[in-house]
Amino acid sequence: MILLDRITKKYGDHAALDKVSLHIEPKEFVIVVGSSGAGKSTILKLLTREEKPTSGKIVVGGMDYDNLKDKEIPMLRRKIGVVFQDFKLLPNKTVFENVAFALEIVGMTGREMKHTVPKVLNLVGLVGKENNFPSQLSGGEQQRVAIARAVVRQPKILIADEPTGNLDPKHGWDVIKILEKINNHGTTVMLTTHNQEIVDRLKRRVVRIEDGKVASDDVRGRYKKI
Amino acid sequence: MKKSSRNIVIWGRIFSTGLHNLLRNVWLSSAATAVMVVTLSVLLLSWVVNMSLSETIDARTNDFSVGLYFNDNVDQTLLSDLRSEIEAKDYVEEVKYISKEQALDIFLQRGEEENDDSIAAGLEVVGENITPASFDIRFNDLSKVDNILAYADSDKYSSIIYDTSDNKVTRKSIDQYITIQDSLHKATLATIVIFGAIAALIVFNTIRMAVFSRSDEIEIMKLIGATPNYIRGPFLVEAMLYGVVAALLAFSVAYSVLSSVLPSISGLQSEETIAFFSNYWVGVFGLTVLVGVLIGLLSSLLATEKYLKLKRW
Repeated sequence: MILLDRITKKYGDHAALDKVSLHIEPKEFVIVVGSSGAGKSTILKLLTREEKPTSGKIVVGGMDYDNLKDKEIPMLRRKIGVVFQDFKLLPNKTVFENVAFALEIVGMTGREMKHTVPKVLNLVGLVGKENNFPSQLSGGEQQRVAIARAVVRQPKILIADEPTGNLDPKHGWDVIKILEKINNHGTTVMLTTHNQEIVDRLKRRVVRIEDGKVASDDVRGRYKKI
Repeated sequence: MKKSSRNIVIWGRIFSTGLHNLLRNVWLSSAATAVMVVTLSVLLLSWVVNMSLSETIDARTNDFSVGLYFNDNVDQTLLSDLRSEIEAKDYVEEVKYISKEQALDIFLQRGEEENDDSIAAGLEVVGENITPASFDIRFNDLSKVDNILAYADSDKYSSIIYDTSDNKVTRKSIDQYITIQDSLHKATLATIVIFGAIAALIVFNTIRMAVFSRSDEIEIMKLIGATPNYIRGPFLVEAMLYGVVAALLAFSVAYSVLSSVLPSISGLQSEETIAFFSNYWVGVFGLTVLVGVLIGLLSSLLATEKYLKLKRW
């Protein structure tokens, strides 16, 4: 599903990633941990093609990034749902409109959106909040809107970049439970986090990135401090 | 749902977003539209006035002719040579030979029309036809009239030409119209270039500000897989709508001037101009919209190219 083969990413002389190799199977739930600046976010940016690797090969869902043309990038991003630490919601749109925004760009009609969006809001536990604006929601609820937007097109892969970083432990754990639920529906989930408690409770595959390299890769890993 | 139907939905969405953005930025939009109205109004009004001037010049030129009057019993071969030479000039529209008999008829007819019996009475006293045969010459370029008048002094033909006629007052007024028209061409070109550039710059800036004010939205659109056209489209639609609204207003201004002001300007003929703009108003409006839309489109293309950074994903 996701293959990173000896990926190096340099910014000037600094190597954010140094020959990182990683293979993630379909329907896996993988947690990427590491200290700030270790290279976690760089991996995610490479997967969404916000950045290009300096060297190495990336294949996602059968798409070889070496052969990817610029005009194909939007299509790639439609296959990958992304959740950000700062939610990236549009403040002047309601919950429904924020989620529907991901469907608008693919030409879904209003009727189709009215049919699809409530189902996803039900999945993330936001029924009854459709007409609220982001400013009227708690941080946890805003992140659930962001998750709903990321999965509403039913992507095969969901990337969550520090989704609990701005949330208190209770709301953070609510968000993680939603990600687990989405994974149980068959979506491959790649989660980056600093949160030791979450990593230890999840008991999933844990990939540790340190100084731009894979320091460890454990099938049922725990958060290890170096 | 078919791909083509999805595309229709997407294009509809791009258009409605553009319209929504225009209304959301109504003050910025007004400034951009106002300068475009001035540009398009200048364009339309100069077209109207220029056409009216041309109509006036044509009418005056058609009324203008030069006469070459001949002595009696001239050599017909020489007369024929002269006619051939004059007809060969590309600035001569027509050479009409008026015989002595025809000239007399015209003379008498004029007397009748003016109820002047003295003309006929005078000719009776003289007892013979004293009106001369002549060439009545019409031109399509009045700047060359003097070339024809010069035949009266030429070695070859001076013996058969005893006089010429030339309405210098009419020629001068036509020259003045031509001078005004030339000046109008230059002033129009300069005004359109200046106002066109200002309009393009203001649209460019308006779109630039719109891009900045929606930068969060644009970033999210990129990240969730919107295509460059979907992101850029509403900005282009917004700028093109400035052109459409401006064309509508400029068209109203021009037609008000056409119907109320133009006919009241003395010395300017405008019947054909008014008829042209009445008969072909759809085409004129379409052309005005096209110019407005092009100004908006080109400026917004430049602005989105520079500030949307769609080549960097």
